[in-house]
Amino acid sequence: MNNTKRSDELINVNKELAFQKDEKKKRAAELIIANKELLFQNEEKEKRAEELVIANKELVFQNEEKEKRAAELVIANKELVFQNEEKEKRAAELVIANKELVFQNEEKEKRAAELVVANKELVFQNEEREKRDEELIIANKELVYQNGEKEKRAAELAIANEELIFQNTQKEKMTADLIQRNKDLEQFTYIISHNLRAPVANIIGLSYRLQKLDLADDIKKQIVSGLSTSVNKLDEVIRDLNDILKIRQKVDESKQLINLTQFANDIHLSIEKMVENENADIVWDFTRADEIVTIKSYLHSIFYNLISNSLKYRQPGIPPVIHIRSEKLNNKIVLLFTDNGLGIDLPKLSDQVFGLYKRFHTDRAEGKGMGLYMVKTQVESMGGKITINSEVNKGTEFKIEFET
Amino acid sequence: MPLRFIIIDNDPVNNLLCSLTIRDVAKEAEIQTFNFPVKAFEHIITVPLNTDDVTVLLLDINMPIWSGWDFLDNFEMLDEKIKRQIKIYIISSSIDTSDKHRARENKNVVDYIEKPLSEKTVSSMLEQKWTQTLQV
Repeated sequence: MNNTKRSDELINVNKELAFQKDEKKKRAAELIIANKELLFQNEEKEKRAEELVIANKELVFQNEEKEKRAAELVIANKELVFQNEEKEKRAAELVIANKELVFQNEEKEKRAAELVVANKELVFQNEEREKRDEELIIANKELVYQNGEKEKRAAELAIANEELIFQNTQKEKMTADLIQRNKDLEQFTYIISHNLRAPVANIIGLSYRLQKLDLADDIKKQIVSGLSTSVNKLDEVIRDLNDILKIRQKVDESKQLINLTQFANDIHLSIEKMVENENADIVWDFTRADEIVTIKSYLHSIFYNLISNSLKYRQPGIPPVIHIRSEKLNNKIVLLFTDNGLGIDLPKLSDQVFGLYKRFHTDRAEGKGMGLYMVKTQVESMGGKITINSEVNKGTEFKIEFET
Repeated sequence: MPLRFIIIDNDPVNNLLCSLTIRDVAKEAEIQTFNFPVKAFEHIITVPLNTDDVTVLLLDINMPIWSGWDFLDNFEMLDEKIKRQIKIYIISSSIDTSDKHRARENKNVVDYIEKPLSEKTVSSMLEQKWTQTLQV
């Protein structure tokens, strides 16, 4: 079988091949036409291609240019990108800054609101102050007026005060005076009472003795004599007391104007004997103050007692010299009695010199110790003052001051 | 028993009175009177004293030159032996309490007597038992 099939098949195939050769020849003829066409087109394409090459070169050149541009643009772009980034950073910062500003603005608005409130408050306070100021101005005027009044009062008070000070000084003087007077009186009372009691004690004792029986005659005589002495002493003290009180009360005495020189001459007679006995020299000088308003009898007593005192207590062996002089000092008249006698130990005895019944140098002279006390009492009862200055064995000076 | 008396007073009448009063009580008493305390003081320091004797001294206060107080101040400066033997009584007509007080305060004064001196006082002086040992 197979060989038939195969031969069929080979016939078919050969048919097919013959057919295909024909077809190939057709195709070849077509291909030659097509090839000529293609050739022509190729020549055209080559022309085109040459043009294209030129165009291409041009394009290449342009491309290169464009690439340069592009490169520049890239750079510029990068620059822009960078700048953009910067701008974005700036923008970001600005955003933050802006947020900050917004925040601050809000704060400012809050402040502004507070300030507005505060301002209103201030305005209100200002109005209040203005009211106060007006009130103060009125009050001030009032005060100025009152000050004026006060100054007038103060001036009046100053005058009244000076008056009071003056009166106070006067009162202080008076008080000091009174205190001294009181001391003097106390002392006076003590002395008098003591001097009264002494003889009385004696009288008591003696009269008791006298009542005894069996007294011897001579004893009796002594007792009686003692009684007599004591009673007389008692009487004497009482009389002294009376004299002193009279002076203190200034009874029966009135002041008169006395010329001292004339006065001294007048009393010279009454003391003449005393002066002669002692071989004394009495000198007076009243040229600086010759007139004085005083109680004559007191002045007499003062002169007499001071002269007599100086003579009594003279230095033995030295003739006594007594200077009496007057002076005017401020508005006072001063009398000075100076002697060259025994003097007194002043620091020790100053407060006893004018004391009642006080005597020094009892071995040298008689006397109760009343002379200087009387002088002091008389001087003081006339409103004056007496002081003493003395040195033992040199002399003594009595200074009497009277206000005019 | 002290039989020696010294009386110091510037008032002679008082001295007389004291002498009479003492004599009445103690007939054998030895009595010395002085008008000046200075003289009495001189006497005390110059006359030698028998150690057994006691002298009673009556001293007035108010005297010129030396007062009773002056006498006491000077007496204080004497030797203990002499001071022991002299018993001082202040006798005064003063009834002033400060004088009394001052007298009794003085350690050399036995007592204060108001004038006039009485027999009773003299008797009590004589009856005193004076001790010769140092006074405390």
